[in-house]
Amino acid sequence: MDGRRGADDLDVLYAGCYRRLVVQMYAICGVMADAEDAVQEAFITAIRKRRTLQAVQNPEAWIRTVALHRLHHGWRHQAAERLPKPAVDVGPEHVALVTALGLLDAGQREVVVLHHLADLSVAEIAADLGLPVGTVKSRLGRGRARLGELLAEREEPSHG
Amino acid sequence: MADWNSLREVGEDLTPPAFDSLVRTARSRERRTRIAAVTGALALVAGAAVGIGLTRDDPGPPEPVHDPAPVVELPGGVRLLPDPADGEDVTTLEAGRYRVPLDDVLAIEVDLPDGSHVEGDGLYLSSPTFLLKSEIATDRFGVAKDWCHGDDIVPVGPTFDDLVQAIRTQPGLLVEAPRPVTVGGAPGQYLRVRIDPTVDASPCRDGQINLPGIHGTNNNVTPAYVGDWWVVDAGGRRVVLQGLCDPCEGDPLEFVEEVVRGVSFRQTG
Repeated sequence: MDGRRGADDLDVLYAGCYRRLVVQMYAICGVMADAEDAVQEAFITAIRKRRTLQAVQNPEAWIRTVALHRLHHGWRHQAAERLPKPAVDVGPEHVALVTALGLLDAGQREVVVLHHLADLSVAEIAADLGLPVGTVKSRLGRGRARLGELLAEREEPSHG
Repeated sequence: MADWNSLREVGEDLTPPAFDSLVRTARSRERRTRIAAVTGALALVAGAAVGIGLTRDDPGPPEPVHDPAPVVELPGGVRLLPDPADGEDVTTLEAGRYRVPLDDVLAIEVDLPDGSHVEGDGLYLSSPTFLLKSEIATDRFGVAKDWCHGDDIVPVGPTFDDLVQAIRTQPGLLVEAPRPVTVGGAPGQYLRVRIDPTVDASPCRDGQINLPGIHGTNNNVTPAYVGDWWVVDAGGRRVVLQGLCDPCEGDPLEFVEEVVRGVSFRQTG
């Protein structure tokens, strides 16, 4: 009944993982404002469904899944259509990586980010996204290879 | 190869919004969803709005479906509210008379139609035709410190008259003259509460006005809100029953009046 009940625990989770989750969403969608929106909306959902959240084993994973869900469903998921312009002051190396991620196939990008940035195993990614393990492995392999190519292409002119 | 650690450091430059602001937004949406759902259903019952859109947020990931909770019936046929299923805030009820605890020692008993919902411990009872909020006006009950911004509640004085007077005079509200009522044998006052049509709610958070209540569970409503408030003295306890309608068309509050007419009080401890 009390909107504050259970929210105090979430407060700790929020303080601990908000930035981490935003960076992960940013790497996937390419737009910092959208990433922050998605994570904030996920926490709002968590507050509203706090009883549900109390029953899950990994609340951060639950919130990340909700944030991804937000990105998937019309949350201006436009990284593939435009070059990202980070809202925060980030260095060129970050822009290069996020730009390259934005050029990946959306499915590959998500898996690559969850594996390399969120440090999730293939099995965890498969469970979170509801995909077969084999699909995650193939997307991860192709995505990693393509990302390497894109970053190499970007570095070549600067060394010329 | 990719410098993932460097990307992680981007997060250090972020300034998260205050967690309390997310809590407020969540609470606001909960209230809006409850009230809009009931109001939308009321409009359909009245045949006034075919195809009306209910305000619903994206439900998020799919969640498990639970079987109905077992019914515990007391002597006299009154039922206890079932415990909500794990992870659920709302429980659907069969038709019957239910005991709804207000605290450890006082409860109301009320007839509810089939398909009614109870939320949490019974703070909200609803059906397609009404939304009833029942609570004891403890010493934390008060009026909005700022009816437009913020969530702070200023507790009113300890007496029954303090409470009625505070509700009547909260800025932002237009409250009709109270009239004496009896609910379940408990004497009290009935108040019809609207939003003052002269106030501009557009600069308020979500365009809504804060109602009197208890910090954490008080409601915020649109200018189209109409509320029925029964403030009664149940054996020395101040009890507030509210019928909420927002946005409100016609006179749908007749349904909640019928429910309140059937309320009785029960000492439980």
